[in-house]
Order: sequence, then C-alpha cells, then structure tokens
Amino acid sequence: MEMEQVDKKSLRLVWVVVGSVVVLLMVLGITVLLVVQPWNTPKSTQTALPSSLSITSMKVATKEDVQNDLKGVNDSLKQTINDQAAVKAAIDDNKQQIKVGN
Amino acid sequence: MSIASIFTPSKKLYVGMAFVLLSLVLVAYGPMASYSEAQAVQDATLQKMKQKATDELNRRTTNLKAKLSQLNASGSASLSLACAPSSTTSPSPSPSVSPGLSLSLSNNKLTGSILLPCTIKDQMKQVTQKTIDELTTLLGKVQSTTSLSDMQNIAKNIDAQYGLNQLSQVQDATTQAISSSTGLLNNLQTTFNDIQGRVTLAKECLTSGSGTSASSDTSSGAPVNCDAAKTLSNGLDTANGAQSQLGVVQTVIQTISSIISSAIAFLISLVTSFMGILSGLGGGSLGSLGSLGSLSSLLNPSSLTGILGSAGSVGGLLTSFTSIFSELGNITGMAGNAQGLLGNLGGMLNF
Repeated sequence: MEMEQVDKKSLRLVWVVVGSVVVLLMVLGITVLLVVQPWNTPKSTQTALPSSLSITSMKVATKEDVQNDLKGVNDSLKQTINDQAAVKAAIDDNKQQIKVGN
Repeated sequence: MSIASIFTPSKKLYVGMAFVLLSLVLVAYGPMASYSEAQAVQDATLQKMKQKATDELNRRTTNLKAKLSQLNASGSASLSLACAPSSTTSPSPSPSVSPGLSLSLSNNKLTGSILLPCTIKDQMKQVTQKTIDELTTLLGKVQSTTSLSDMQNIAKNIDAQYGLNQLSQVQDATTQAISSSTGLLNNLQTTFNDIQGRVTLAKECLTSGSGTSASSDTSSGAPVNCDAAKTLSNGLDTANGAQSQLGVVQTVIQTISSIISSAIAFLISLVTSFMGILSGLGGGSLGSLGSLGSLSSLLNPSSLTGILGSAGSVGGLLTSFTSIFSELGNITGMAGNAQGLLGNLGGMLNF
C-alpha cells in the first residue's frame, strides 16, 4: 500500500514538472512572438532577393517612359555635339579675323 | 583767215599774253593735281579701313550675339539645362563643384546631380552684353570718322582688343557646352534609373512574384503588373544579363560625371582669371567688369596690347579652354557608348 502511495506521489511530481516546463515554454514563445512580430515584416524581405533590389522602394518606369528617356539622351547628345563644335569654332576664330590696321 | 595772219605784228602781243596765261595755268595745275591725287589715295585708304573695320566689328558682334542668345535660352524640357543657384551673394563665381565629383550609387540608383553654378552663366552674360555694347559703339565711331589718323587709332583699338573679344566668345561657348553636357548627364542618369527599375521588377517578379501584382509603384500608386514582366523572353537569364550590362553603363556614367565636374571646376578658375584680366584693365575689382565699358573710347591701345599680349593672360587662358574642349570631346564618345547600351537594354526589356 505504502509503495503504491509513493509511486502516485512521484508520478504527480513528474506531471507538475512537465506541466511547469510546458507553461514556461508557452510563455517564452508568446513573448518572442510579441517582440519579433514576424507578421509585420515587409514582403520584400521574405523574398530571396537582397533588400536593395526591392521594387517597393523605387518608381517602375514603363516601356514608353524608357523610350522617351532614350529620345532625351539622343537630343541632348546632339545638342552637346553642336555646342562642342561651337567651342572649336570659337577657338579657331582667329583664322577668320580681319586685321583692320594692316 | 590763215595761220600766218595770227602772227601779224598787231596780234603778236595778244598771242604772247595768251601763252603766258597758259603757262601760268599749267604751273598752277601741277601742285593742285598732285594734292588731289594724294587726297584721293587717303580717301580710298580711309574707306577701305572703314569697310574692313565694319566687317570685322559686325562679325564679332554677330558671333557674340549668337552666344548670348544660347546662354539666355533655357532649353527644351528634354534637354533640361538647369544650373545650380549659388549659396553666396558674392559677385565672383562660387566654386561649388569640386573636381572629380561623381554621381553615387544608392540602392542601385544613380543619385546626386552635377550642375554648372548659375553665377558663371550670369557673369558670362554680363561680360558678353557689355562687349557687344562696346563693339556697337565702336562701329558708330568707325562710321562717323572722316579723318584717316582717327581711323588708324580706332583700327589699332579694334585689333588690340581682338584677344579679349575672342576669349569672351570662347568662354561663352565653353560654358554652353558644359551646360548641355550636364543636361546629357541628367538624361543618362534618368534613363539608367528607369531601366534599373524595370530590371529589378523583372527579377523580383520572376523570382518570387505571383498573381498580377507583386508590389505597388509607390510614386504613382499604380499596381505593378508581374504578369507582363514574366513574359520577358529567357526570363531570369535576360534579367541577370541586363543587370550585368547596367553595371558597365553605371561605370561609364559615373566617369562622365567625374569629367564634367572637373571641367566645371576648371571653368570656374578660368573665369576668375578672366575677371582678373578685366579688373587689370583698370578701375575695377576682381569680379567686376573693370573698364570693359570704356574700351570703345580707348584711342591709345598700347596699354591694352600690353595686358592682352603678355604670356599667361589671354593666350594662356585660350590654351586652357582648349584643354576643357578636349575633355568634353571624351564625354560625347563615352555618352554615345552608354546610349547604345541603354538602347539595347530598353529593347531587351520589352514587356
């Protein structure tokens, strides 16, 4: 009888320890979840791409935008070439000079 | 009446007097004829000098007016020839651009801007307008001059200030060329960033995006269509190849920006030297127009010749401007390559 009572007491103690450990783990888990808040993480960081490549932080141009950009580059390149030709002409202007005193 | 009857004794006296009068007329005509001939030569020389002076002055003013008109033009929207306002109120140009400064890369975007200080443009406009005014005044003097000696003095003045006029023209042209180079750089930067955005979109959609919207375009709020990006031929390989080529373009654009900032810094120092020459003409401090406004009244231009003819002044500055011109020539070559690469990338990302 006494042996049976001792076994029951030991078993209760084991269950108390196991229960305490489980409760402790649950408290720890909830705390970690509250602190880290993984559900608030931006979608881009969930991808395999580095954050620097995220399209959420930059304007995405259309195909037509790029065509307009390229036209702008072409126009300004032509303008630059013309303006540089004008510099050359100004540097060589002494060839056109009319000497009045001679 | 026969000829012999003229020499009859009664008429001999009259005939003799007629010969004496004729001789007197001939004697008097000699110097008069010589004087008229000398006067005619002088008049012809004066007219020739006046014509040459008029042609030269018109040529210079036409060139300077064209340059002034370019500097005053703001440019079309696509050329975006902006300038950087100065933070100081100093009349002298503020060197706000350091040599070698280049655009920086942040989050795969080229950021920053390299612009010509507005003060440089403003000063060039003032100098050019003043020079045009003086040349116009000089033209008026040429047209009203009737004395050859006065015309010779004016001619010396016109010839002596040629270097100054040419330098003004070269500075205007160089300022304009650098200004349009900054516009070109700005357009290259915009194109690079826009194509980079499309490459990033393609990579993100092809890697992890699903449905029709992987994310939102934060600048306009329009949904980004991943379905279109997923139609990119050869998918991720094409996107990765485009990213690699963008790395090359980025280096080219940054090199261009570095050259332009060096050219701007060089231009600022040359303009400062030019203003020093103007103040050296007398009566002006550095940064002012000196006595540029009295050049047309200068009838003894020996002092001007001394200043402008000395080594290291106008001649030296012209040589320096030639160096800037060479640097700018490198820009157009590199920009042409960048344009070709960006054009290819634009075609590759056809979604």
